Amino acid sequence: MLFNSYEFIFIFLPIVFFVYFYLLKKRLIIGAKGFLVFSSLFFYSWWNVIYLPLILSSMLFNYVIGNSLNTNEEKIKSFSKKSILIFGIIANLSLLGYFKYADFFIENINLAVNTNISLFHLALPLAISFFTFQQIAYLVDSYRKETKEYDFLNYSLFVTFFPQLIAGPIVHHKEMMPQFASKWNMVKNYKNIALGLFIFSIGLFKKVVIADTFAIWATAGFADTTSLNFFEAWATSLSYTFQLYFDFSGYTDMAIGAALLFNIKLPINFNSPYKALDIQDFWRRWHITLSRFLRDYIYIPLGGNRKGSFRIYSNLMITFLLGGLWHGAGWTFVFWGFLHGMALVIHRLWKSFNFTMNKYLAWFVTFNFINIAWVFFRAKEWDDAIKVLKGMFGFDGVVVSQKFANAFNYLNPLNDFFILKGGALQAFITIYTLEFIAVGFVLISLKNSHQIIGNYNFSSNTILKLVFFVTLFVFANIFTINHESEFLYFNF
Amino acid sequence: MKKTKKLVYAFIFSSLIMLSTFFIGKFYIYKGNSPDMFNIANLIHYKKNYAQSIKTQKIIITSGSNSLYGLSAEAIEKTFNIPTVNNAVNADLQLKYHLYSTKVILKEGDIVILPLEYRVFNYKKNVKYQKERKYTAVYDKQYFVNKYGLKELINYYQKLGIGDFVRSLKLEKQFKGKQYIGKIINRNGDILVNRQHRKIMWDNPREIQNIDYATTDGFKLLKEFRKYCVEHDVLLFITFPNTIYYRDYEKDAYKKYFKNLYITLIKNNFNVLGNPYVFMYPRKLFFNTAYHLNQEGTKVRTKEFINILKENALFIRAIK
Repeated sequence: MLFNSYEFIFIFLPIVFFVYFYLLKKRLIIGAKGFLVFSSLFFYSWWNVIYLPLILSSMLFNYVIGNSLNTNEEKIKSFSKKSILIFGIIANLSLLGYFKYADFFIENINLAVNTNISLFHLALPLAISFFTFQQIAYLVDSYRKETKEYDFLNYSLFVTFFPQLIAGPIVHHKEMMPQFASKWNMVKNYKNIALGLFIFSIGLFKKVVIADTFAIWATAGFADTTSLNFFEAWATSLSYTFQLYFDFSGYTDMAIGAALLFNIKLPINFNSPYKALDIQDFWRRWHITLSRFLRDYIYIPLGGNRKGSFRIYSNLMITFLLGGLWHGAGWTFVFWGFLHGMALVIHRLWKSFNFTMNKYLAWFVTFNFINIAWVFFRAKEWDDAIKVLKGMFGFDGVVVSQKFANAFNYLNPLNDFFILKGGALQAFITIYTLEFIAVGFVLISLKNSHQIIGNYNFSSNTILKLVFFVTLFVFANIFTINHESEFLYFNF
Repeated sequence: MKKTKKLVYAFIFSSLIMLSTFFIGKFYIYKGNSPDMFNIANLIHYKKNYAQSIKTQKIIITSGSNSLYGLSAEAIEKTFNIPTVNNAVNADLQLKYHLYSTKVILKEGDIVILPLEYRVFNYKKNVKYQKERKYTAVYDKQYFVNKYGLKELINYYQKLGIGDFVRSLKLEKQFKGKQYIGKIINRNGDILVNRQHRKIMWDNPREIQNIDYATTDGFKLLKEFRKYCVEHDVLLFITFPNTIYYRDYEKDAYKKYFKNLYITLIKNNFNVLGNPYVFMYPRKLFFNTAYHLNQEGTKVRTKEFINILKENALFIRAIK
C-alpha cells in the first residue's frame, strides 16, 4: 500500500486513526497498541503476505537476543554476551545478505572464476534493509546496556510502526519507546493532527507532482537512448537529482505527517541537502538517520577520529563503501559510495590545510559533485553511467539550433573535442523539461517542509495557510495519484 | 486548541468537497482523452440518430470497420428501396458491444447483416478489452456497469488525472461543430474519406487459429443474439468481411480454417451469405488496412453483395 494511494489516504489511515484513539479513550492501552501493530503488519502484508513471517521471525529473534543482552549477567548459558551480539548481528546480516546480495555475490564468483552457478532470482522483501539496520542498532545498544527492558508489544510497535516501516526514517529505540509509553500521547492532539496533515500534504505534493514529473525525463535519459548530447545529458542527470530528493523527502514528509497524527514525532531525515556547501555538510542534511546509523555503528566502532589521520580516512572509506553497498547490490552503488568516501577524505585534507572557498563556488562544486555521483547511483549498468557522463562533458557534442551553431562554428577548428552541432533535442526533452529543472533549482533554494512547519503559528493568516495546504493536498490527489509510481527507496 | 480543531475539520471538509467535486466533474464532463474516442462517439451518434429516425422496416449492417470501409448502405438502400444503416464503426469495441448497440436500434421486422471480422469469433467474455472499456466507461455507462460492475467504473474515473481531464476539454472544443455528414460519412453511415489507395498497415495473411468456434464466448453471444432476433421477428444474416486476397489463402491450412468457420455457422443454423473467398480482393482495392476497401473497392464489394442478396430467397421474402 503506497502512501500516495486512495486506499491509504481515505481508507486505511482514517480507520486506524479512529480505532486507535477510540481504544485509548476506552483506556484499552494494550488493545490500542496491539491494534496499531496489527495495522502495521497489515500495511506491510498488503505488498505480499508471503513475507509477513519473515518480519515476524526477525522481530521475535531480535527481541529474544536483545533481551538476553540486556541483563546484568556476563554470560548466558555459557555464551559470552559479546558472542551473542556477534551471533545476532551475523544472523541479521545473513538474512539481508541472502535476499539482497546472494545473486550479486554469485555473479561475481562466476565472473572471477569462470563458473556458471545459477542465480536465485529472489524478490527483495520490502523494507528488509530498514528493519534489519534498526534492529541491529537495538542489539548493539542492548549490549551497551543503553536499552530498557521492553515488552514484546512495545518492541513490535517500535519495529513495525507503519509510517516508518517501509522506507524509514531509521528510528532509534531511545527516541521511539518513550513516545509510545507517554500518557500525553494517548489523547488526540489537534495541533499534531493539523501539523501532520499539513506535512503529509507537502510530502504528497513533492512526490506525485514534482518527483514523478522529473522521473519521466530521468527514466527516458537513462534507459531509452544509446547516446545523449550535452543538454539531454544534463537534463537527465539533473532530473534524477531532483527526482531522488523530492521522492525520498516527500515520502519522509508523509511518514512524519502520518506519525504525527498518532502524536509520534519521527526524526527529520532531510534538511535541504542541496544547499550544502561541502560534502560533510551534505551528509548532515541527506538521509540523516542513515548517516547517524553509519556514524554510530560503523564509523565510531572502527575508531572514528581517534586513531590518527590514516585511520580517519580509511574509516571514512569503509563506512561509505558499506553505505553504497547497503543501497544496492551492484558495483555502481559501491562506486558511488567510493566517490563520496573520497570526497569526504579530500574535504578533511582541505580543512586540515585551512583552505577556504567562496560560498557560491563551494555550493557549485558540491552540488555538481553530488549530481555527477548520482549518475552512478542511478545507472543499472556502467554503460548507462558512461553514456550520461559522456554527454554531460560534451563528448557527443553540443547540439544547438542550426542558427546558433552557424554563428559559432569558428570555435570548432580550435577544439575538435567540443563540437557544436546544429540539430534538435531528442523527443523526451522539451522546453518544459528545462523550465521544470529551473523550477527545481528554485524549490531547493526555498525553505524545506520542516522550516515551513517548524514554528507553526495558528493564530496568524490561518485562512491563507489553510487554503495553501488544501490546495497542495487536493492538487496532488487529482494530479497523478493512483497512477503507476513507486517510491525509489522501496528498492533499497 | 479550539481554533486548531476547527482548522483540522476545515482542512478535511474542504479537501473532501473539492475532491468530490472533481470526481463528479470527471464523471459527467470527461469525454475521452484521444481524438479516436471522439470520432467513434460521433460516428455512433449519427448512425444511431439515422436508425432511430426510420419508422419503417430497415436493414442494419453491423461489424467493425470492415463494413464501414467496405459496404455502401446507400447503394443497398437505393437498390432495394429499404432504408439501410451502416452501423459499423470499430472492431475494437468488440462483438458484445456491436450486438448490444444493434439491439438498441432494432425493431420488429428489421433485417440485420453481420459481416464480422474473423477475430471477433474468438471474443472472450472475461477479457478487459481496452477500447471497449474506455469507450463505454464514458459513453455507455450502463453497458460498462453490466459488464464490469460499478466498482470498476468508479475505479476507472478515480484513475483519471487532471491531465486527462484537461485533454478532454481541449478535444471537446476541437471537435465541437466538426462536420461529419457529407464530409466523413454520408447519411447512411458509409465512410467517405477512403478515396484512394494508401500504404497498407498490417499487410499479412491472417494468423490461423485452431479453435472450436462453436465453444467460444463469441459464438455463444451470436447464438443468444439470434434467439433475440427470432423472438423479435428480426431476420439475421451472417457474412464475411472484405479482406485482401493473399496467395497463402489457397494453402490447405487456410482452406481448412475458413471451411471450419463456414460449416460451424451452417451447422448452427445461421443464415450465411457468401463464403470467405468471395469477399477477398486485390490489394489495389484497399484503402489503408487489410480490412478497409477504398471507394472503388467498396463499389465492387457492394455490387457483389447486392447480387448475393438478390439471390437469397429469405431476404427477398423478408423485404416488404
